[in-house]
Amino acid sequence: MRPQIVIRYIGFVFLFNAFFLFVSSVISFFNHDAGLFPLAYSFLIALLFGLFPLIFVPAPEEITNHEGLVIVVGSWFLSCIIGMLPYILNGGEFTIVNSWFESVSGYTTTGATILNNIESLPLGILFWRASTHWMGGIGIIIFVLAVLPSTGFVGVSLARTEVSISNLKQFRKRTSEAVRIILYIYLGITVLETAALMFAGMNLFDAVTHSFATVATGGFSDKNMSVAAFNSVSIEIIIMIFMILSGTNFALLFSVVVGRFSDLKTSSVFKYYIGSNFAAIILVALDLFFTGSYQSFWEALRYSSFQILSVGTSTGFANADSSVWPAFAQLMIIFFTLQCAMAGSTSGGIKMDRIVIFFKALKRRFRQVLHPNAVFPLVVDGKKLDDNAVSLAVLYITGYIFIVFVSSMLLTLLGVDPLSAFSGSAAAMGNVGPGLSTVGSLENYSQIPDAGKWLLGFVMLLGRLEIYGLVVFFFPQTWKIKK
Amino acid sequence: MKLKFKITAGFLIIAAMLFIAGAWSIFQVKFAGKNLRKMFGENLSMIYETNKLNRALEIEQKAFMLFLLDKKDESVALFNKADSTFSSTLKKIEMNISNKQEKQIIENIKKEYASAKNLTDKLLSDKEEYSKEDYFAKLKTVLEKADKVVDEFHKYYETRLTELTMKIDAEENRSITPGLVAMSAAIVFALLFSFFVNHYVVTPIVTITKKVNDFTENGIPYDYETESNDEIHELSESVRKLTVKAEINRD
Repeated sequence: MRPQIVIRYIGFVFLFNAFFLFVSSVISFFNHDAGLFPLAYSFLIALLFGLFPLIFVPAPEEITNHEGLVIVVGSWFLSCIIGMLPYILNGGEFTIVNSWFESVSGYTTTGATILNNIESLPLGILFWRASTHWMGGIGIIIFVLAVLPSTGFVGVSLARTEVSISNLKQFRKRTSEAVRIILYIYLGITVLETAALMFAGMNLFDAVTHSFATVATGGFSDKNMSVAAFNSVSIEIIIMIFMILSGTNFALLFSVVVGRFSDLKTSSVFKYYIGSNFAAIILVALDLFFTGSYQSFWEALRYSSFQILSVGTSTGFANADSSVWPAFAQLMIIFFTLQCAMAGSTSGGIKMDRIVIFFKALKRRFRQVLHPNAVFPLVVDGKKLDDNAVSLAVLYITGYIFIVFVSSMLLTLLGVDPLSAFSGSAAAMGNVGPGLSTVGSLENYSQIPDAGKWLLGFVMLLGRLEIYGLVVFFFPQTWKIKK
Repeated sequence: MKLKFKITAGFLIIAAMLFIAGAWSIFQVKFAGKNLRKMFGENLSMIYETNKLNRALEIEQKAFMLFLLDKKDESVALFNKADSTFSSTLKKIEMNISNKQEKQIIENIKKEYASAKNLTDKLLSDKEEYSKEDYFAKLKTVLEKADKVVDEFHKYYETRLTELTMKIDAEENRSITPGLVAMSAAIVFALLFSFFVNHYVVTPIVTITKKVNDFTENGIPYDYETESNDEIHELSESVRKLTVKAEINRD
């Protein structure tokens, strides 16, 4: 591995962060708020650390897989550290550990916050907070590759590390074209939602920040009461529509845009995505209505649909306090916190694709028990999956649940109550944001002990980088330096 | 890009980081802290004024006690003194109020005091509408109400003082934090700079030296490719040409 090459490409990521820090500081400048210096100074540091490697290090012709992995994972880590700077410099509720938590929560699009009073923050800082979501949504590397001049094999290698090869193949385009399409869809959804929210009555700032959080399935609102603060059915409906879009595989969205509707119709994962969310919404609405949580069924439907979709797409916005809902509704929320939406979207969690593979593998196993000598191929969306693919999916689900449990146990050791520990760990691992109990949809993570915040920050990164990337990053073999 | 530029840029960047942090820390301590200290002083003086209002009301009660003891002249003098103190202090406070909440509290104080003054005026004008006992009961009630509102005002400024103390603490942290961040960034940057200097300057020089020695002692051809395109690259190319000429001459 060549450290200088890694530093060069991480430098580009710093420059990308610097751009958003600059925009945030301009907002603070025109708003005459206290965020100007923290943002401007952070911009300067990011700019200098980004430019300096470019002075020394010439562009390589190619990079190794190890270098690509270190660049991608290193970019995430170091972006989180750069992201901390405006918070630390702003002060207030932002201690070092709180800044780390908020920054990681932003970039990993978790959306869990330590802030008790979000609305007291300067507008520039709020915009920066939303920007970390937007950058982390599809991965900062994707943005960097889109704006850099032709990067050749280097770009392909980085893209395949950031976005899995299987997801890129679904576009049926070259890697570089697929990266651009992902970006256009991402930008397109952001612009459309901003316009729609403004039409529904939001001001430009709120519309942009909420769009950033929706398309990235992040969930940072600039209101203390999240989306509930607006108390607007039209705003909630718009956000729900765009949450569904953001949780859909971008390759499928591209298929719809180019007129290939058959891809959508034949996708069993998409059908499961829509079907499972729809069923959960109805069941939870009925539960809420019949247990007296809401007086009318339509009211129950309004809140259940928003909360289920918010958690099911790993967004994390709230229009109600689901912590006080009956047990069935809460367990449904926990299930969707673990499952989340489709692969190839900005959603976190185990992902529907793996859940579909799991259920199909289970069904196949039952059939094999009944017909031991028969051969039952496992087919998902017309593609035959080998046993290795099934093993990988099941292994991932097992590892995922294991990590959630270990994190929960460690949090309980720190004095956190079991429901908060489990739901918070699941929400962090799935990059969902809100859990239940003391870390519920209208609560925050400020009361979690500092050690717990460091732990949850690490769990968020594990979830965002889908476990293996982050774990392999720490292997000594990854860091063998080329002399 | 030339080596001189790269190395100069590195040192300039470190200097810039430290300078900006130092300048901002000084600005925070000198100017931002100054405003808060001014507000702190203003709040303290408002608390002092509300104490004066409390004392004026106490004097009014004393004056009424004297009136009950048939010491009318002393009573009238004390009432007038209390009234004068209360009115002038209230005027002074009114000139310094800055928000709606303070204005509302002042209006309440004026209203309650006006009721008290109305009663005392009737008492002192010898137009005895009520008995002394009734006057005592009524005046006691309105003075207590006025006292309560003044206390509310007092508590309001005490709360603001506490908030300002916390803000001053926060400002102190804001003065220190940029310096700490800058020092950390400068240390990291220095390490990065040191790595680059070692990789792109020191290591190539050491390698070129070794390759030249290999050529002179063992006749191994010089074949070193530098990564960068600067003075080190030029040195390497010059050495290559030298070794080629030396080989030709040797042949």
